[in-house]
Amino acid sequence: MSANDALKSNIDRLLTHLKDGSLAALLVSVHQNPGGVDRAESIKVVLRERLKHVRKKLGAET
Amino acid sequence: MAPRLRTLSVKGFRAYGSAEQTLNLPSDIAVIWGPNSKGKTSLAEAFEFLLTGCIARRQLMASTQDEFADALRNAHLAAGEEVYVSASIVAADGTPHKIRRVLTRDYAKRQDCSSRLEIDGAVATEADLARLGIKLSQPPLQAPVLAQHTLGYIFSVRPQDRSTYFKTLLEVTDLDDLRNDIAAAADVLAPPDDPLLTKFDTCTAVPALSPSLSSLLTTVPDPAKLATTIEGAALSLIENTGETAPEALGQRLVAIETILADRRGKTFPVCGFKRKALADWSPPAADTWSRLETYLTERKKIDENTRRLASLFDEALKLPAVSGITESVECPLCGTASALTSARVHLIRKYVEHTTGFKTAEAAARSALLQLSAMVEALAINAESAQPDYLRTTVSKRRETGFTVARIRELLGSRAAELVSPWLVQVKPLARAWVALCHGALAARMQVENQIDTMANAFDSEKLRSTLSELAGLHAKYAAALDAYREPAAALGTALNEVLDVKSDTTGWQDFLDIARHPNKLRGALIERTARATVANELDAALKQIDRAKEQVLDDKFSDYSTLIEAWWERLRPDELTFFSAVQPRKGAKRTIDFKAGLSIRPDRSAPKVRDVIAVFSQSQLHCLGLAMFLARAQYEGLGFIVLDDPVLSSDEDYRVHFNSTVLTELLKLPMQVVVLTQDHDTWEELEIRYRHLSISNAQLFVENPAEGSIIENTSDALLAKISRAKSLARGGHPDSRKECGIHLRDAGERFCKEMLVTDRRRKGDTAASLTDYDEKMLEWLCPRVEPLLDRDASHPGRLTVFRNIVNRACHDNAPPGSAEMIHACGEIRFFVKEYFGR
Repeated sequence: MSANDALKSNIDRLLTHLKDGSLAALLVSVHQNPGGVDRAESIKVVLRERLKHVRKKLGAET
Repeated sequence: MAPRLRTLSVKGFRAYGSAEQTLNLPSDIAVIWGPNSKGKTSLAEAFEFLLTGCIARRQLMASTQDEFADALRNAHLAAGEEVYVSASIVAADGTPHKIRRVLTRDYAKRQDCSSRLEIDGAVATEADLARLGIKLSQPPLQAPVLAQHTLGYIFSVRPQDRSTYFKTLLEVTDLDDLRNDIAAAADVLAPPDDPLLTKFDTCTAVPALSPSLSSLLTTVPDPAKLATTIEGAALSLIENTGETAPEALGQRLVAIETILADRRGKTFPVCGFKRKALADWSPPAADTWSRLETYLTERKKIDENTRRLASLFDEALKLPAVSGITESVECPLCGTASALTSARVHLIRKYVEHTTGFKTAEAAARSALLQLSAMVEALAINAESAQPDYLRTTVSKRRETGFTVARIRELLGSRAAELVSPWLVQVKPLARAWVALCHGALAARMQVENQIDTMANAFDSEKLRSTLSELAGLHAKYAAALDAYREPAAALGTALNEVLDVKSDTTGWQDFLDIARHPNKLRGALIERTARATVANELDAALKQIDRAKEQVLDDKFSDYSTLIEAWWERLRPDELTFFSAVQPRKGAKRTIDFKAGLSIRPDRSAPKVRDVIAVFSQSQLHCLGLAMFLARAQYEGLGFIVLDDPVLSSDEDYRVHFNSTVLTELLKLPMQVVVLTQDHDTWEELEIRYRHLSISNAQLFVENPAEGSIIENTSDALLAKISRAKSLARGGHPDSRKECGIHLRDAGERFCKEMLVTDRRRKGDTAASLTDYDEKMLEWLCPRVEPLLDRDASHPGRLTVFRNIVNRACHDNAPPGSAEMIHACGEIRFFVKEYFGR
């Protein structure tokens, strides 16, 4: 097993121990595939979206 | 594809002298035989130095770093001679490369060594090695080289220190980085820094407000419900004082304000600081001055008498008897009968017409003056209201109400020094500026009113304009003094209010008033805080899940690695009843790693007792476990090649056969290139035979001249290998060595003769001729049949006979020939091989 394979499989292994659709799984997936932006920023985008959703649910005016 | 070594060259490194020595590695398995002190460990460390630039033994074995001073450079090498190790490799992508590491500075007493790495002639770094597919592990066991001192490393460190080794080995540090990256993103969820929320939090601690407001800590209601909550809180606060609360919220807030001021005032008249904002004061509009100028202009056009009489005439014309005159009437002024005629009335009308413009201008000017007066009055009133109340009362009145600096200092306690002085410094300038403004306003107003009264006679608009300009200047100075006063006064006021609220049990009331007056902003702030707290909790929970999952990944990988170790263990020591069981993190102490052994009394190993290997394994078993761990790691990391320096203890015959057969076969299947260094000649020979079908590379290490250092002889040629072996024994002082030398020379001689005969038969057309045709044939049978073939010189047959005689004496006599004869015999057979086979 190569080091890259080990690295890849670490994330894959981690995901198998996280519930599908959970925030934890989403954050790990986004970190692994940031889609062209900085990894840290990609995590923040997820959290900001989550904030928007919660604000709306609490009745914030858009 | 994994990288492969093809050659390794050494010059001046440890046991190797100034002549470069090269080890050929054309195949996936190589075995090098080196008796004790012939350069075997130096060769293993050459591999290590090439890849890492250092040797692990210094870190693992030396009690002090001093002991390795000058360890790498050959002790007999001339000064200035270069020391290097180089290798030809085939990289992971199949391309050939040359790697070279030059020693630039040897180890010193307190200093590491330094070296220069080159790849294909260019200076390179370890990262460049990785690009060729050569992977290094974490220190201290970076290189894929197994040596005696590395075997026991992991057992010799504390269980807690093993965890870092395994975590790095099992590569979950990337998951730590992932977790840290995710945790770091929490800064977007930091609670908002909103002063309104701080006030709200203070209010929730007020006993009278808490029952109503506490619900807002967990749930943010809709605007209507929030308004109801605030109304209820206000009601509760008022009723708690014993007062009756008004119906509307606005009125309730005013009531709270009043009660608050009253309560604070009982401790200190803090309302003395109250003041209103100073309004801007604009200078009179240009129209005002133009009206005055117009008046002055019109006044100049008419003489004084006419101006005086204009009003009189105007009033006379209003009299009905005069306005509708048709015949002479009595003069209304002097009473002379029939004095006022129609003609005289007509004349009077003419006078009045002439003064209309003047009168209009006069009215406008009067209006302008009245406006000026009103402006000045407004300025004075506003300036006064902008003063703090305490400055508008007398000293005695202030003292009477308790508004004194001493009292303020007493209330503020330790904070007085930082707050009172800055405030006091601004009070006097403020008072002076106000007094000056008041006097200026009074003077201006008197002047304006005087102008109104004396419009008919004297009118000086320039003087008036100048006075008002001065007044504007005084207003600006007053505004500046207020600006300078504002901040220290606000700080002092805030601090005082805090103290007063505590003393009067009104803490949080002002904050409640502030939030009650901005319910929408409060709602927005509460929503923001609640949202961030909610998502922060979700992130927390996610991180905990990731932590648990990480531990599970590590457990999985431990299990995988443990399984690999177990597999190699079983290949080395199958069916033993004391066996390796697992390597695992200790339960409840994840940082502690244990090696477990199983002890069973049953052949099927069932129901084993589990113990720590350190406690129950023998030295041989620990050695074996170290080897199994090394092999498991090499497999786990997908290494392309490994170097094993005496992997089997000479005392461990029991598992040598498993190593030679099962273990090496499995390693080659991975596939992995294996270089085995051994001091055991039997192992060397066995491997050469066992892996001949894989074209195993053979080499020997020997020393002819200590000054020249170790020599590597690549001996894939079996005949030459035998001669080399014999040669190394020829110098042996003990008769047994020379006897053994004789045995090898006999083998070499027999091999030479067989090859001569086969070559001759094949030259004559017998293509089926083979060495095996002469199995079991001894030197005595072979030599006479070969002598006729030694036709290159007449002396050759005789020399072969002499060789045979020496060999026979060595093998059979109690006292074998001396070293000189043995060396001569080695030389003779070597000569024949070179002469007749060109090798």
